Amino acid sequence: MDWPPGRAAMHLPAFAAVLLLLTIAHGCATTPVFPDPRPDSGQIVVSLEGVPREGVTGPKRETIQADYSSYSESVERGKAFERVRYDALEDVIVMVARRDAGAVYPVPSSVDSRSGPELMLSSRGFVVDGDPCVQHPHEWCGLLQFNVRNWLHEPAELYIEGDRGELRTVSIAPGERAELMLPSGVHVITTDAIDGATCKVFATDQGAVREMRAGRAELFNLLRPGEYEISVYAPRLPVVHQGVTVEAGKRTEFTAELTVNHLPKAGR
Amino acid sequence: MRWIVAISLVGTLTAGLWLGVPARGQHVPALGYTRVIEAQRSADFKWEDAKKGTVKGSLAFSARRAQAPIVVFMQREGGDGKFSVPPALKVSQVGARFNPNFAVLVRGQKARFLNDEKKEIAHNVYFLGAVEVDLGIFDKGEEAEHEFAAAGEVSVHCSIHKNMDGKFFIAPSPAYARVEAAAESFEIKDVPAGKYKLKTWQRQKRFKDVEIDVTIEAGKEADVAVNMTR
Repeated sequence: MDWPPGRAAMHLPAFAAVLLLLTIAHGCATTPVFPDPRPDSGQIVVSLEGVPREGVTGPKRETIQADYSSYSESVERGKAFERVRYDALEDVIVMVARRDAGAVYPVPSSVDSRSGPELMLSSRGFVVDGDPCVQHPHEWCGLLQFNVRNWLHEPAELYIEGDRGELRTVSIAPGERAELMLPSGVHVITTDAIDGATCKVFATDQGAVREMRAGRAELFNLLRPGEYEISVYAPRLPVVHQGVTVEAGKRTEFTAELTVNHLPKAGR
Repeated sequence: MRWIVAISLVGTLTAGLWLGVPARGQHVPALGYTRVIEAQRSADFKWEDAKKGTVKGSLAFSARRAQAPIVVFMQREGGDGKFSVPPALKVSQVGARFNPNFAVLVRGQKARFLNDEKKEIAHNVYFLGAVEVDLGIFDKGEEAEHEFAAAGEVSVHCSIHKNMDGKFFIAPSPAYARVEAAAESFEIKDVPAGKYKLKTWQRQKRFKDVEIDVTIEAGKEADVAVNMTR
């Protein structure tokens, strides 16, 4: 249907208004909405921003000659040339821990570790509640004390290496469960029972741990006021640390850049 | 037993306002992930002038070992001294893979990364661990070199390609032996006489790393039994 020019121009403001409303609605839907802090506790909001290395350009393209035509294709073909998507980095572990002693949250009145998530060893490797812990880059945020169940038909010996170089071993009979208690820190669990099976555990006794992805924000709520350390562990990237102060009735915000751009540059 | 439970409350639908400028954080070298080996240089001690001996050793394991190399290295009391280093390690990047993707170097040795791709593909090299540095982006035919001044474990990555990773172990001095998965003995030649700590590093940690006092005498062999236990 052809509209006379004048009539089309008449409807232009309406179209613009609808477009503006849709944009605002989309913005509201994607902007995280967090509750206000309570007067007696504070909040930390951690946002993750993936930033590619500066100076990196897109892959070059080459012309492929087919029988009757030619087309352009990226020269980087195949899994080996898969590029890092900094805007969608996954399996980023964010740990918020108090710098001084003391609990982060009020202790629940009744605690039962058997009701919590369990780390399972199966023929697929390490699995947590349906999400596999694969060698890389998937890691599991865990707590100091958790259960490991051996679903294999043979005994399994687990090796737990801490970030200070210490090594623990745990033997679990087939079908049985063992309770693991770890100190705060980053631990890597491996086993001979399944080749290549690895699970990285981030444990803290003075804070909270979340698994996040780039482009998202997470709220750490109901925090006791005090000094905190935020640590961000992204696979293959430098660890980011930030000290923050949490005040009662206030929200502290922190954006972690997931990037290599802050590494010292070496001469060539 | 303590569970830390995060309770997230769902608020009303209001536009989120970010007040102030959020802090951006600072990158701190990930020493927590790696073992940096403290190495001392003693300016008075030169390997080329010293009388030397040999270390011969055996490796025993209390359980099944991993199918990965173990590095046995010596650290001299009073400092490792001045020594000449091997030529630069050449690392290929063809097919978006570091080749070799695991190597043992000596402190002070260089690694030369060559972009020997067949097509116009750029790569980047950066290190994490005992060394944290970015060598830059280089196109096909270009190369970048780095001298490893610190000893310890270093992971190697390309910031462009997500599956392009490697690992180096930087020994504090030339007194080391790389023991492959099937080997149960090692020999370290031309070790200057003196008192040492013999240590281990495992590509895949399955046992506690050891530390053994060893005395090297000029012209003689020192026998060491390394027992790896859990």
